[in-house]
This record gives sequence, C-alpha cells and structure tokens, in this order.
Amino acid sequence: MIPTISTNDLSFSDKPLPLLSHEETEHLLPDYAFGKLTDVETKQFENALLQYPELAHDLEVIQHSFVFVSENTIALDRAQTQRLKNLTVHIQQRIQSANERRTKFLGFFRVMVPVCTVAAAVLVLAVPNRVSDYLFNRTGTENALTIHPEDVKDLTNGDDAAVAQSLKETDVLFNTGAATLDVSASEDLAAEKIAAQAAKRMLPKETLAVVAMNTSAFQDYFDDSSASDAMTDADATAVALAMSRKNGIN
Amino acid sequence: MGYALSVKTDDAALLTALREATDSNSAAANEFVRKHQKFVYSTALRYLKSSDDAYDAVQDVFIKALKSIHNFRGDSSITTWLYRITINVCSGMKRKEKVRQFVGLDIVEELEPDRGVTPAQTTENNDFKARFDALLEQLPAKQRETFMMRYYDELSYEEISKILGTSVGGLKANYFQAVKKLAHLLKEQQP
Repeated sequence: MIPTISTNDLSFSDKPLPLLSHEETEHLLPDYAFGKLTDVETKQFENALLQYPELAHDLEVIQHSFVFVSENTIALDRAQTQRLKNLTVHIQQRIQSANERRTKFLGFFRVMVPVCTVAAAVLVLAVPNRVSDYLFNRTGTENALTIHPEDVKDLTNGDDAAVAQSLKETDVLFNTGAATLDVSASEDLAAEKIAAQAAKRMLPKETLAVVAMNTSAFQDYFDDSSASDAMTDADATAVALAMSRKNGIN
Repeated sequence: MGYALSVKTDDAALLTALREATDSNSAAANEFVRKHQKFVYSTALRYLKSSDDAYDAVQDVFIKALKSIHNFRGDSSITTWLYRITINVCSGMKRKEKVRQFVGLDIVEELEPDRGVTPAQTTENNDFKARFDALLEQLPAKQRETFMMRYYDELSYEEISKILGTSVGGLKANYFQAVKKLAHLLKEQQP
C-alpha cells in the first residue's frame, strides 16, 4: 500500500516541472508517503526531494513507522464494513415504522376533525343564544356590557389601593354618564329608555357594577346584556332616576 | 477506504435520483447510504467513542439526510453536509446523556474476529490500535482532527477546509506535522 522510494531510483520526465519549495514539498510528503499523489505530483515531489535531504529522512521514518498503522487501518476498515453491513436495512425499518406512526396519527385526526366540527355545529345550532352570548359578550371588550354578581362582589370587597382608585374613577365616570342622561332625558319614557341604554353602553364595567349594587332591582339587566334590549319603560325610568339621584339631579 | 475520492464524480447523478425518488426505500437511498456510511460512522465513532452509539447516530444521520435531501442546495459537498449533520446528531446525543463515555480520545471500537486472521493477530491489532489512539491524544486538536479526516476519512483538503474553517495551506502544514510527530512517536515505541 505504501510506496517505497530510493533517492537513487528517481525518474524524471522529459518535460521539466517547476521545482517545489521546501514548504510545498513538506505539504506533499504525507500524501506521497501514503500513495495519494497523482503521477504529476509524484514526479514533482520526487524531483524536489533531492533538494531537501532532511525531508527525505522524514519520509523514510514515516514510511517505516506507518506500515503497521496501515495494516491496522485495513483491519479496522474490514471491521467497520462488517459492523455496517445491515445499516440500510435498519434505516429502512426505522423510516417505515416512523411512516406507520405518522399514518396512524393522521388517521386519528382524519376522524376527529369531522367529529369535532359536527359537534361544534350541533352546539351552535342547539343553543345559539348561549353560544353567541359567550362568544360576543362575555369575552368582549373591557367595557363589557354584561355585569356578573361576582364582578361586583370582587370590586366592592377589595380593599387595596388599586380597587379604591378604580371606584373613585368609576364615580367620576358615573357622574359623567348621569349628566349625559340628564341632558338626553325628557318627559318622554322612550327617550329615557334610550338614554339609559346609551348610558349603559357608554359607562365602563365598574360604573355599571356600582349601579347594579345600588339598584339591585336592575341586577338582571346587567347580568344578561340581551335583557337590556328588552328593558321595560318603567325599568329604564328607574335606572335614569337612580343615576340622577346619585348625581344629585333629582 | 478509497470511497471518498470516487464520491464526487457521481454525486450529482445520485442526488438527482434521490430527489426524483418518491419512496425513501429506493435503490438510490440505499446507494447513498452505502456510499457514505463509513465516513459518517467513523466520524460519529470519533465523537461518541462507542460503536453502538455511533451505529445509532449513523442511522439518525441518514434518516435526517434522506428527509432533507430536497433542501440540500449543493453549496457544499455532500460529505461536508453529512459531516455537519453527524456533528449535530452526536452533539444532541451527548447533550441527552445517551452516551456512556465520551471523555478522552480512546475509540473503544474493537476489531471483530475476521476470517483469515488469527485470534492472536486480532489481539495484536487491538493492542496496537489502543496504543495508536493514545499517541493521537498527544497531538494538538487541530492536527488530530486534520489527520483523522485526511488519513482515515480520505477527505480532500478543500472539504476539510470547509468543515474546519482552516485554509488549505494551514491544513497541509497541520497534516505534515501530525504525520511527522506520529511517526517519531511510533518509532520511539518500537523495541
């Protein structure tokens, strides 16, 4: 495997090749020692080696020392070949089992997606009000129209500074709303109702909570926003009165 | 061990066949694996120091490579690409502590008994290999890696340069120094 060289047995081609520098010769030396050079490179190297006897000595040591390494490498190569002989089979088995798992996984979703879609459709069709309330009112904006008793409780039971500030701001907003109501309201009950509904839409959740607390009779309206659309004239008047009273307009 | 030098000539054809194959269980996939398996295995073995772990790593590497062969743009050679995947897989295995031993450079791959080789010769080969691995440890990391890639994996200097990020000139100097040092260390060990 490893070519041997005698400095007395170097052959030269007819065409002169450029002489390699010491560094270039060094760079080619290992590949020459292990038989990896092309014919041209080999001739160039052998030509240059005559100029550098210390490299010729290095080459001799390398060739002699690496004989057993080379034999061992062949043995290692043979062992690796033996070790890897079923590699393609094992790889294909793993790819196949991964594909099977993926097929099962996708199959599960192929069944579950239509089932879930049908179930959701049935739910929407069966209880449309509940679903629409949940989707559009309960999870609406910060100024949600729906007031829940637990919201009021949380708000009024709180004793920290943030809640106190919120209540203070709420009062200001309430007064603003009441003033608007006062301006908008007239002797006309229908106009009062519109004003009450407008106030309700305009005021933030916290204000409505205060209203709900002070006028428990209207709790239902704040619990269910759809109820506000069906607000009776009398209730609308009462809301207006409650807000006016709070604002000292009475 | 001359596979690495012949790879380049038909890499393009093999890549085309792999990309056109609709099934990963194709003749092209098997050919691809056979062509590069020794390089990937020896690289994994150097990093993981365990033949079983290296064998697992090789499977992972080829499964990943075959899956992403369509994304291989050809900016680098297949060998360089596979080397990067191998290092990523091996690093992942080390991180997950799947590897029992990876400290030091000892490659614990033992040569299996081979037909035509006596048990005494196998033992002798294993002993020599252990001693040679110990000598390799004495080399600076860059020289050691260059030697491994050039001598065992038979990569071109250009490929090693892309992998290690070192100039070709620097690699040639490293290789020469590594070979020279090993030769002298081997000479010192001889009775």
